[in-house]
Amino acid sequence: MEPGDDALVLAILAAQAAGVRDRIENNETIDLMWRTTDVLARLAGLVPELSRRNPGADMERQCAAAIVNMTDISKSLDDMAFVQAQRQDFTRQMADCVATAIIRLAARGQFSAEDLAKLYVCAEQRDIHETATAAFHQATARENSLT
Amino acid sequence: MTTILVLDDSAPMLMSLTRILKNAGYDVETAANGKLGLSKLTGGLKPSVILTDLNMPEMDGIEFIKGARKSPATRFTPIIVLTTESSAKGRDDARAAGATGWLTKPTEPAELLSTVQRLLPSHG
Repeated sequence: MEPGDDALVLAILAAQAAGVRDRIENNETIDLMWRTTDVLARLAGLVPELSRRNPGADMERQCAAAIVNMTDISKSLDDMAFVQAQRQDFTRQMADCVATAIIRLAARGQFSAEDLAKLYVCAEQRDIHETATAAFHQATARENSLT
Repeated sequence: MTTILVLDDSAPMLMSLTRILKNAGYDVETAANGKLGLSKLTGGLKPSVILTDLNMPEMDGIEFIKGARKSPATRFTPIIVLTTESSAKGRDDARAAGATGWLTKPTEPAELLSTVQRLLPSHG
């Protein structure tokens, strides 16, 4: 690798990590859940009209059941979207941390494990950090014992 | 109507929180960071509860809470932190800044709503 290539590779990696972060942010699954919920709410609003135009005990019962089901599904979808949005936010922040670390490494040329730890936003990242650090030290010790 | 100010830099989170809270009958105002949240407060917004993320660009949740506590209008407004951060230090920092409640993502809608309801000034 030519001198200076390191900086170029880091800049490319930073852009790619930022791309991953943005894709996470723009995931369409949640949007689809909300759209489905909105459509169900509109349909639930139209069902009573169907019952009015086709009077009868059976139709009334079916329409009432349909409204209950649509309301249940809407609530479940909104709840799922809420949990999904949080998980997505969690993953986005982890990707953002990686992108930021690579950008700073590319800019400064030096970036310590302590600098990296300052970017963490959750316990899971700290756990990964500790596990990776322990594995790194074990591997280094093994290599040193062989030489 | 009870107004809740929600701060989060994630657009899906803001939208999702807004839907959950509106479906529960609350009026919702949103801001994408602490700076925008504070400008809503200085602009005259008087929320009954504030729900804020911690890690946000421009101004983070801790600075926002400190700023909100300086204003007479929101000195005693319940502020719930909703964040990926789960460390004891994070909680201590938020509490020292003036946070009232704490929820770690991912949380369930029922837990969010019960925390909001519990901290509403009219509760109890």
